[in-house]
Amino acid sequence: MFGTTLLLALRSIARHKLRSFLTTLGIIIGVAAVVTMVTLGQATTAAVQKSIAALGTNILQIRPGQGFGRGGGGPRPPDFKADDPAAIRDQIAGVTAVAAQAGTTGTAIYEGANWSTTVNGTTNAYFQVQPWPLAEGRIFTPAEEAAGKSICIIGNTVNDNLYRGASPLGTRLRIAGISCDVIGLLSKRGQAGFGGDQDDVIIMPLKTVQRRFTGTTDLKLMLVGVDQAYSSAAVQSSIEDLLRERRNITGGKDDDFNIFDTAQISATLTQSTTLLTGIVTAVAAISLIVGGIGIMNIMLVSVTERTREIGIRLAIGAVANEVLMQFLVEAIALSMLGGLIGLVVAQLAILGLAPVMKVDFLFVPQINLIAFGISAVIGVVFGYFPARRAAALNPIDALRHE
Amino acid sequence: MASNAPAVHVAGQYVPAAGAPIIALRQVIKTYGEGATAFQALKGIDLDIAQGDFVAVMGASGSGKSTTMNILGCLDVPSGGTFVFKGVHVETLDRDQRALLRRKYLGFVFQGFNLLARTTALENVELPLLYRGDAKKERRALAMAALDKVGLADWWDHTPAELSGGQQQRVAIARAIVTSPSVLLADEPTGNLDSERSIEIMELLSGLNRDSGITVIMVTHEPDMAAFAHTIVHFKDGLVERVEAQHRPGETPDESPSRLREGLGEGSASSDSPTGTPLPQAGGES
Repeated sequence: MFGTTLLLALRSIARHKLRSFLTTLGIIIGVAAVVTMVTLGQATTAAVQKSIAALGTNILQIRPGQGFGRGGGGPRPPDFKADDPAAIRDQIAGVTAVAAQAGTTGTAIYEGANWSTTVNGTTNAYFQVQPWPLAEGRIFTPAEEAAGKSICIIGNTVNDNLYRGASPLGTRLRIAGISCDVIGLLSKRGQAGFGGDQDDVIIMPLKTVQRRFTGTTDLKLMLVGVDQAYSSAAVQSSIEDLLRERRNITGGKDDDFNIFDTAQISATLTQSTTLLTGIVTAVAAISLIVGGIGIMNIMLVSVTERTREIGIRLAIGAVANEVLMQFLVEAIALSMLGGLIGLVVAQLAILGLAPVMKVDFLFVPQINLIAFGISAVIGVVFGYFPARRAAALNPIDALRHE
Repeated sequence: MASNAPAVHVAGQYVPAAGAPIIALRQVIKTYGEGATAFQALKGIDLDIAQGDFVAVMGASGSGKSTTMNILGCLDVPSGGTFVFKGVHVETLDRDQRALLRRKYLGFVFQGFNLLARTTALENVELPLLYRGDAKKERRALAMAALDKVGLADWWDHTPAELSGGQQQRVAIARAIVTSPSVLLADEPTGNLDSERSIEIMELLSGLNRDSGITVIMVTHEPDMAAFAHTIVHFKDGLVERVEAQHRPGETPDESPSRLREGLGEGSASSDSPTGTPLPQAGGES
């Protein structure tokens, strides 16, 4: 009985290709839209999280000034003192390491190739605060740091541009007029959260940069590593208190520095991408429902158009249930077919859009299954009413229908 | 059997009358609508149709012949009276039971052919077998045999659009007989065909009636077509006006097995019905 119904339904679909296609169009678009939107949303979230992970999680970035969007005007707040990093490291629980940073920019030259880049002066703590292993070579020795030796560890982009990817170890390059020995090569890290290339950098001992370039021991940036066991919010608040004290900020005065928690940025960004994905998905889901109503309308029109056919079937001896089942199976088969085509279209759309949106191609099994399941349910729900109408037709009236 | 057919005694044995009715209508009434707007399409039909008969139903439009055909086709139920088909009181059956009855015992041929569009002749003929649940191989064989009977075996893979009107009607006949029904109901089967095609179709129906013993009941407006039948039933104003046995070569007039239930209506609600004696020698010229 079911085999017969299925056969009748599939025959009917195959024989009316245009009608079948138009019926499924809504579902195709709906499913494709939902799957594409949700997948691209997840891919974007993944990309954002990846670049935040590249920044280093559980790191507090401390800068002078009031941070984004506040302050402005008034005297420039002072930089951090040379002993601030040590104070934070020694006086606050939950801090694994504090890396002070001073920086400049300059053109690096090696054997006729030159490349404009950032010079980042820091201490070995830099490599403790965040996981950024070397691809080759070694980090500074305490003696080199103390002496302010002219040595450098270069980033991947610099290596690519000056050495064409060859090993830079043991060579000597010139940067902004001074020469330095290359002792290490950093592993590739990729884009930062806000588009900067983190691999376009040369790292030198803090003391060397201060002495040769900036001419001051003041610090513009401190990176604080937070122990996983501690709440980064609590550590952040302790650091804030300590720095207020050290910088003589009293009473109700605002901080003249800002502490940036990368974990918090990560959470905020993830939250906003999730929200955006949710909104776009809701819009796509509406289009899926509209597609379902489209199926119902065309099936209803189809019942009218096929009244005579239904009459023939009833006269020949089809019982009401068989007619109902045929129309229902047709609707379900069309919806599922539309769902399948929609899934294929979605994968193609994602393949096409992923490079444009600078995200990786992603296949999310759940959303594909859910969208397909919904298309099947739409077939049952929106196919039922036209099917019931078809089955309830009086054979005499149906046969007389012109 | 709820048959009221008279019995005869042959050599001491009780034998049902030859051509015991396969269909028996008793005081069948059909009313459409209710109250003041009610319209009585059938006012008390009494009719027996014998197994193996070839009956032509004639009458002006509105005479009740279509309504009667719908009831005989188990597509509709009477508002009153009884319709016994093969011993079963059809008026007591529900919709699905009647569908199953149609599936098993009835075949339909319509004026407008009513084939499924974009569907080959073979698949059209197979359709009743599909609903019956036959296996594919069996379906094919029976459908091809039916197409062969109507002379269209070579046209099995043509869709209705590729067939002439006469051919389409033959496919429709093949579809109607593929299940070997007891009764073939034809509603103006030649209404859309020219006279040459009409005669071919009538000869086909006559042949099926003669060779396969299928009871054929056919509505027609054309006396030429009615002339092929053994019995002509004339309808008028919701009643059977008269039943006329066709005098055919090699047959005695009395052998027309279907007849009006004469006298049955006496003293009943239909006493005013014009169920008088059949007019002799109408010869189909109604």
